[in-house]
Amino acid sequence: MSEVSATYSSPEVEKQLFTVDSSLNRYNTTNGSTTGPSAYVLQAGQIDKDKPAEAKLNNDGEPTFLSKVRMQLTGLQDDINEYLTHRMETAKNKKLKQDDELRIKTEIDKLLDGGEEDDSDEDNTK
Amino acid sequence: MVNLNKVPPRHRKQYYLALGLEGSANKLGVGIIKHPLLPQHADSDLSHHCELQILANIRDTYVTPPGEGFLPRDTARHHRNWAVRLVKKALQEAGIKDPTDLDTICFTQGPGMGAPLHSVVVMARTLSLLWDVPLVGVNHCVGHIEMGREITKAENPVVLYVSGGNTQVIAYSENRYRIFGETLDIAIGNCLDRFARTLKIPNEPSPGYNIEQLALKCTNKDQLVELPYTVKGMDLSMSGILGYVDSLAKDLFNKNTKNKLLFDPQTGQQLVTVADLCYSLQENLFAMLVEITERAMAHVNSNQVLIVGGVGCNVRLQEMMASMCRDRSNGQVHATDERFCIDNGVMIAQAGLLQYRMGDAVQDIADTVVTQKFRTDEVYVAWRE
Amino acid sequence: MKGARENQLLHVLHLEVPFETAQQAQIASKVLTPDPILKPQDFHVQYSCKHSVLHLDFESIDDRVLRVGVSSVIESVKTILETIDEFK
Repeated sequence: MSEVSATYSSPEVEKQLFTVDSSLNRYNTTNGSTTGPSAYVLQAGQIDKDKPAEAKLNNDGEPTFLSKVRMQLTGLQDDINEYLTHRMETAKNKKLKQDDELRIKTEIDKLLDGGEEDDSDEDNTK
Repeated sequence: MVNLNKVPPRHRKQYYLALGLEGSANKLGVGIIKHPLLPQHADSDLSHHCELQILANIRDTYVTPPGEGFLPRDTARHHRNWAVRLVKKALQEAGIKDPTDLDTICFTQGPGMGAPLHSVVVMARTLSLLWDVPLVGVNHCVGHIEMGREITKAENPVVLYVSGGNTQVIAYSENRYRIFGETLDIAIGNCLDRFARTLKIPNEPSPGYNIEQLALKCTNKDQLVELPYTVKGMDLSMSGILGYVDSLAKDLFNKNTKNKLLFDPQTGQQLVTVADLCYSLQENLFAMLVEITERAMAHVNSNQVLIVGGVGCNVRLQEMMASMCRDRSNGQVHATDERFCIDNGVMIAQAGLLQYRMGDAVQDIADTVVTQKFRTDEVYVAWRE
Repeated sequence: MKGARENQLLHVLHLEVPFETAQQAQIASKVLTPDPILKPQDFHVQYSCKHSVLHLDFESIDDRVLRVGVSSVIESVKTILETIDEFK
């Protein structure tokens, strides 16, 4: 059967493929890890009574075609969410790193140009 | 005079069948109803005499822990995850083996919370396309009104619509439910719910119900805690009252003995309990509602009131309104019980089926986009004279 | 158009979801199409059907908006799958 799949690309990433591995539990559950209740309700003590419905089973006790697709999609959704979150964090760290480097460079320049001890030496800063 | 049989039942049935889906706030409701095809409906003004049969009324409420309100994201998740199961249960309860026999699928188009409304419409559209059954988008407030009319048979009453999301005084005139008075800021249910959060009382079965129970425990009814009274002409405002009563509750919890209203200045003894605050808050808010309702009644020369919406379940509100109505040439107050005053799918089916019978079904699926704002008077009430 | 530099939606995701029949895939496409998701200058999605497979093409201004939009649409697709499965 054809399976759920996805492809991502961006200015930094030429191509990232997302596929399903039907042997893994992650693609055989209707309850995704990135689609649970909000953090704030869990912190307030909420017990999740609103999980997605279980897969529909056919007469042989096997999940139906559409249920299998739903479970695969759930797993792939988690993959995509985690991947994009990771990319966002990398970009943020890169920016923080850039900001840090800029700050350090400015401080070094100030140091080299003098003006540390004398309050009146305002002209020394570039 | 109106012809309610303008659009005949599909498939040569002698009755209409409608499925109603409600999800504008934290209640997910699925209702299935039946209207017999009646000859007296061909030329009359009898839209509140449909001989409604309720074949199923299923509801599941998304309840948050004490002290927390419900946010759109989690509410939408609740609706998404329960929708199919509730519809399945409703069809079973109604004994409907062939859903293609339905005349219409009615869904709440607005007003309400965007994400939850959207969760429900996605399923409504899918069912409509699967079964080839026409869709009807319903205004949530009109749903409450039509349900109230059919259950109570009230003849052209002034309607007080009070819930977590809405507070309006409505009167029918020339094919519109016109808003005569309303809240200028928050809804009364919202006011009560937020106070319940401040008090950290449980949200099960509903915060408003628990405030009502606490108010009943008040032993100091003769000494009302004085609260701001903010009626403004035909309208009212409640956010100031909430702010004030919240601060009183906090002073009570923090044992702020400087507050002379709450603690005896000499002995420091506590003078006011939480139950007293709940009682006074209700008395104050409800008196304001009675005043603006009475004002509308004078305007349209009516002595009947129909209370709809979740806060309409409150017995004290019903009592105070009844007392005012009796004083006005022996008028009456009408209300429904919690099956129908709390959001449900049956009311959406009832209003939707009336719309459908007058020829108002969705032609273009693009018209089923839900909307957070949807004024009651935007609906053309074709089914009334 | 204000004449300012037009935002380019360069973060893209292509998703394929198989159904049992072409009709089911078309139903899904019709159900998804009406709704706007996020601001059109930040995010765009196109739905199409190839036989019994639903194709979703997302374009976004950045990864954060992409993640929110994609996950939201997938939630709707899961509802559609569950509904068709139960009531077809």
